[in-house]
Amino acid sequence: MIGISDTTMTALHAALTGLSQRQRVSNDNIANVNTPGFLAGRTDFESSLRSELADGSTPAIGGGSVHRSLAATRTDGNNVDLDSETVIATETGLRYQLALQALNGKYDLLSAAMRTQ
Amino acid sequence: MSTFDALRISGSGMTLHRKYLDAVSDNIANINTAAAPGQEAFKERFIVAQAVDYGSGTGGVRVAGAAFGSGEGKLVYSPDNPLADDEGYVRMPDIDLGTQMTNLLIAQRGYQANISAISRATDAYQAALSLGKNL
Amino acid sequence: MTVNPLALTTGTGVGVSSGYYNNGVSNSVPAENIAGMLTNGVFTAGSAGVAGSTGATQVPRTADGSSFADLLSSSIGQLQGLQSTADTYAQQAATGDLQDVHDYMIAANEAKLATTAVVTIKNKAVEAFNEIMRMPV
Repeated sequence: MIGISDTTMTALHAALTGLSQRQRVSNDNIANVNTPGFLAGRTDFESSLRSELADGSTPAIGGGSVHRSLAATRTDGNNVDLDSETVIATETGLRYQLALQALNGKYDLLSAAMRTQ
Repeated sequence: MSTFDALRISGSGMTLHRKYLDAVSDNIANINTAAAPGQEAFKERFIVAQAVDYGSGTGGVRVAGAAFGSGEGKLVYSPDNPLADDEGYVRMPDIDLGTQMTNLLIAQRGYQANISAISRATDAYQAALSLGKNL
Repeated sequence: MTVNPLALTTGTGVGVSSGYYNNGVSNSVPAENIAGMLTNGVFTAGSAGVAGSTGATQVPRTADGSSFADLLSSSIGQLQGLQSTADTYAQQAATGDLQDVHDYMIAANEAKLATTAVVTIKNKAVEAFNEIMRMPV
């Protein structure tokens, strides 16, 4: 009866974990913008989350994967594009805050339902 | 792996780029440092950057070491220089100011990008810490 | 330490008492009998206050056959699980081993909501019980 988290809340938790991994990898790319031979890291948690929600199964937390981008490199072998990394990082931060807002919304609904007056 | 890992990663990026800035500033400051022809000229400083734990994508970067350019420099005719030999030559460093200014801009841009990354990560962590504060 | 929201006392002769009399039988009911009543139904007037006595009325059950008492005790079990998850993350936060800060925040909020829910249900159940015991026969 008191299964506090439903599929939506678990999906939001999975999104938060995936986005926080993306933020770390994006910061790693920015730190290595001048490292010779460094290929930018990319993460993906959306595809597994989307297929789990489509199946109706419970989303897995921490199902994101890291792979290396195969975009063109500069002469020193580095392919980190600072402009696109900045956009990715900003978008990730905003999506993280959106997921937190959505989770707060779910908590407010539950606590309103439990209010005795 | 610490709790606020993005800060550690960007912090390592800031340290690297600051050392890069230091090396470039050193080169620019010594661009006119003469040496006697019998000695080595001022050698250009390089920083060797290396990714930490490359496969995980969350290791950050470190300074693997410092490298030095050639000490041969170029012989310049400057008879008034107290270090000049009998023919009036001194050994000047073979450092190109244009290249150094470009590197300065690259290092500065990298440093500022890491600062912005730290501030974005801090905003995200603080939003997470106020989850459920109305409950 | 887990918080026990029900905090029912045990032992005979101690429990909820409304202070009224029902055909000469005291209404001071021991805690085991409250649980017994939830499972087996209210005993008929005049019979001894023993849980599971014959003549008890049927208690409402859900579609899968669980009664209110079953739901309440399973929710307390889940609550203890949520509280211990939150404790584990809190310890990781203390040592700095916590991977993601939102893991702890989500666990703490779920434990808080679950505790509020169980306490609210307990309060309502006791209130309803008192209401019933106040009824003149």
